[in-house]
Amino acid sequence: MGAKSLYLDNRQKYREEIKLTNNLKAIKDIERGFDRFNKYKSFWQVVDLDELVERLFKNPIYENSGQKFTITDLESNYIIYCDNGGSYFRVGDKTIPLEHKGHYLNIDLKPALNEISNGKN
Amino acid sequence: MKVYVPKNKKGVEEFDCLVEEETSNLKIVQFTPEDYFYLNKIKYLDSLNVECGCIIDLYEDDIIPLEKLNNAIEITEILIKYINEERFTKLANQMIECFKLAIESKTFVDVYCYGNPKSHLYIKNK
Repeated sequence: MGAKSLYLDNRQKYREEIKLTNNLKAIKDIERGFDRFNKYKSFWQVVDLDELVERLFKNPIYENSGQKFTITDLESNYIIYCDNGGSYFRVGDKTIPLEHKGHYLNIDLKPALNEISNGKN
Repeated sequence: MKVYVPKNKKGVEEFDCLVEEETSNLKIVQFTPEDYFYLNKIKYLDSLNVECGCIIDLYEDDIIPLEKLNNAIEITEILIKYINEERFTKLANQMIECFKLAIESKTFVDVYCYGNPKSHLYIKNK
């Protein structure tokens, strides 16, 4: 099973579980991810997750952590955060602290700059 | 959780370029992960989302634009009275200062909730 299938399968199971257990907090968390995807998807590129995982990781480790499904490996500086609400993911640089927004990278694996000053978001 | 408030056009540029240290152009207020989880638990961030049309969320950032900052102040002041807890009042007043500064500067407030850097979600490279 490829990364994309694993992510989607995990996402489906997680959503079913939180509905079944009526976990209202988790449901709300998922809804925010869904809302964010709908709000910003026109600004984002469509990317092949399987291709990216194959490029970045030799031995990927997958983990579900509630709002996110993460993919990384012990050798790589990268970590992929797949959202369990919306159909999107972000790439992180493990050498840059999570407290810094520069932790997150664009699709060219460079720090994802904001673009407020030129009118884009 | 970090809150960014550009004070001028240069501050917006610094924000765009991911400046992480406070400068004369960019105010940055740092809250602890515990403060973030507390504010999230009492639904303050949800309230901001509803009143300001933003999506402040864990592992993400979102902007409260200039036209919504008065809403942010209003809901925060209401919650200070309603919740009536010293810890919340202190944190909420810090947020109000940010909102007011952004209004004065005619910019915006960005809220970045990075969670707990020590969590297993972020695996530090060996």
